[in-house]
Amino acid sequence: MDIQLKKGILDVCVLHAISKGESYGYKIISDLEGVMEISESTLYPILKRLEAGGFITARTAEYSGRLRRYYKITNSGLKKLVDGKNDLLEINQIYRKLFGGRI
Amino acid sequence: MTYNEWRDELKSNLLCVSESERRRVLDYYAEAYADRRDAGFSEREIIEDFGAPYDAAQRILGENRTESYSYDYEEEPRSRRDARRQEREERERRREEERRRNEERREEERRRAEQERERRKNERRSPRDEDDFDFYQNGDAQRYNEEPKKQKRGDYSWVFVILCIVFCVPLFGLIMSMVGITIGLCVAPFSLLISGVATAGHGIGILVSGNIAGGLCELGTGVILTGVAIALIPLFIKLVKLMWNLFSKVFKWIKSLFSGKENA
Repeated sequence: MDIQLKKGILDVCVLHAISKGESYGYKIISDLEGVMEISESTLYPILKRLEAGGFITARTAEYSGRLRRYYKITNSGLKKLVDGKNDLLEINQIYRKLFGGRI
Repeated sequence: MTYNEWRDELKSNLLCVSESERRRVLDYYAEAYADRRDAGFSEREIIEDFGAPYDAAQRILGENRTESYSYDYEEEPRSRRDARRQEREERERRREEERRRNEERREEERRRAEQERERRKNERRSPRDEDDFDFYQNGDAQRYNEEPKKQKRGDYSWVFVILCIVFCVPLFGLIMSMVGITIGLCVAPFSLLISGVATAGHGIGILVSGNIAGGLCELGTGVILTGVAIALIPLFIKLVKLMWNLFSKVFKWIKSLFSGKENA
């Protein structure tokens, strides 16, 4: 997939995974299994970018004797998620118009 | 490849990012590794999924370098954007730390208060009546709030004092020796000059009293001393200036010692 397109879609996926409640790295990856395969190494830059943009916030908390970073979506993150959904819908419509039902 | 080897290789590929960012990355992978182990993956599988350390590092570096992405701050110059982001991260980290510390303290206080109340309740079983209880409880609650704080501060202060002494003795010695050298340099030419003039005067005295040879000899010595002193004055001035420069350098160095080395 085109790298820019993939980046945008991954952002939406990750935001969606976090929007269901506070989440952490491995849970996000597990939640997206079957939708979009991402590894920890792909996820890190996405989380960092989203955090830097103020779309998610992170906190570190202890979990069974070790530290875990939990991510939470912000209001602007929710807004971005809605925008992202609309974009995907638009892409879907473009595809239908171009190719009809054919794959 | 074991996880530790993988992590070390990643670390060596991230030498050009800031210390805090590197720590964040390593924490992130430590967490991911632990979570995957808990989920039943083998070390080999996990490392395979993580990918080559070099590639992981390139992704992290790429994210730091190229922001081909359009966010609200697109128009801002990158340097400022990075600075702002760093600032935000730093602020967040500090807030987080403070929060955790507060939480710990509160927990400690709560536990103490609980214990104390329990103790007091046991004590009260015997002679005190109901009205007193409220008063005691309130008074105690205030005291609990102060106690742990005081203790903590006490613990740190003696460490601090020892550190101060350990660091200050050599520094103090250094500064004092420099002051001594400077004073010596200031005084030396004057003492030479004065001794020269005095010797010359003494020579004149001997001359007048009749001993011409001795008088002339003494007078000559005095004049030579005075001449040497005058000739050396510029050299001393230069040396004093040099000491002055040295002072400012030493003070800068001391300042940098105390203000933390992260910026250096």
